Amino acid sequence: MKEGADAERKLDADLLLRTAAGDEAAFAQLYDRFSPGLYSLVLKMVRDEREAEDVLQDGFSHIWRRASTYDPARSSAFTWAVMVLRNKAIDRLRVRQRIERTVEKATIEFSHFPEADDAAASEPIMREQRALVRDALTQLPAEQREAVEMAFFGGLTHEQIAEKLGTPLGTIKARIRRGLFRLRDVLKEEAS
Amino acid sequence: MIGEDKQDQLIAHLLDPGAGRELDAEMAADAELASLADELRETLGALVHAAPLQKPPPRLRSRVLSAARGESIAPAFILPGKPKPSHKPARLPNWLPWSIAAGVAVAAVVQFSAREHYRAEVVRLGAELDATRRDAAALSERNAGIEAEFRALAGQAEQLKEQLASVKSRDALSEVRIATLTAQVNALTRATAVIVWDADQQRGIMKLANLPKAESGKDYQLWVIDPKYNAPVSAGVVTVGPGGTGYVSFSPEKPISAANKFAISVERTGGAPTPAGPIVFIGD
Repeated sequence: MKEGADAERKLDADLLLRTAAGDEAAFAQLYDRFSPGLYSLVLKMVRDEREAEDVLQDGFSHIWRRASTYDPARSSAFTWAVMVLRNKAIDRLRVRQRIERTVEKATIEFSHFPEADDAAASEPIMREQRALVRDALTQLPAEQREAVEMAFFGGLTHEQIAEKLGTPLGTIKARIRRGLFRLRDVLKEEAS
Repeated sequence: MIGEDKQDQLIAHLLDPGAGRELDAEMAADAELASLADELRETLGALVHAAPLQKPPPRLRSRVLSAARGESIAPAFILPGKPKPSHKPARLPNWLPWSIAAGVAVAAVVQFSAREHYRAEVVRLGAELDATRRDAAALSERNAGIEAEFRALAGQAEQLKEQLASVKSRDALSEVRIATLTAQVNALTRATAVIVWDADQQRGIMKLANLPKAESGKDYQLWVIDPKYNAPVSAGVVTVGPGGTGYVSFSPEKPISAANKFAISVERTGGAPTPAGPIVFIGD
């Protein structure tokens, strides 16, 4: 799997670099590869299909214009794109001040994490990655998983999560830190 | 070894790039911190796969690609000290950037011209507005002046009307003559005859008192003496009422230019065309 994943990473990086040079075909291919995952992320964050579409378009416009700022040495192309789209979604959430409502919905959802539709993942590698991440998440203590997902999908700061959950700030920071480190380790192990 | 506080700061920064920007500088100088940031960034990126997979609507693809085609691309930015990517990117036609630049320049010139035009238009309209306001003020003042003038003229018209009426009245009076006739025989010395003559109307009134009735077969006849005519002009037979009084209204038989004298003679019954009997009253 590692070799296949590495090949995928290389392909993504190549497409992004070609996009930086103005290659529309590469950009279209990049869209086809990234858009399902990115759309899923944005939709989970903004909780609205129309807004998710707007954010996705805005995010891909950013990718098109700013692909040259991508540094292959720092992250995978997909992770770079994830950060771009996530920031766009956070901007949207903050602008519309819908964080509170989103958190409530997200909190309910996090309590019974939905099964991902693996059949929708056309690429075998993607299906494997999804299964890997989901499995890694299940290995986290519930409170760590909750805090990590509220921070990542809810776009909330440490302080906001502490306030929402009525938990000390230090505790929240520790949960997120330990949860992320644990995820990193599990993903590393499983990937190898 | 990176402390937990620093790790928390790093995580907060990765989750929200707006927070802890100073870490960017630290990561540039601290390889361990930068490496940890890379690992955590990849971990966060992998979390995307925890979201239920949802494919975007097919129509969004063309929307995104079309929107991207209409946007310019930021110039490539390579970090110092980092090797350039080995991949040789596909090149766009050389003329495209120049065309875009030319288009932008033309658009800028057009925009600048339009802005200057609108600015001048705003200034011109402002001046017009000021001038219109001044005109309105002047017209308002002028209107007030006209109203005052109108009121003054109306007052003058009333005065003129009054003066005209007065003049007319005076003219009317100026056209009227009053003549007192004097008896020419002793038998009628107690009798009086006064005539009011209106030359404009060519009419007159005579009032009689103490005038005895004319003898049988005779009538008193009034005459108007006008130099324009060779003979006196008849003004009709005078009828004496009870007690020798009478109030006679008369009109001469011919137009009178100048009523120099009035006279009453005794003529046959019914009067005569020219005086034939004795003059018993005369006056001017």
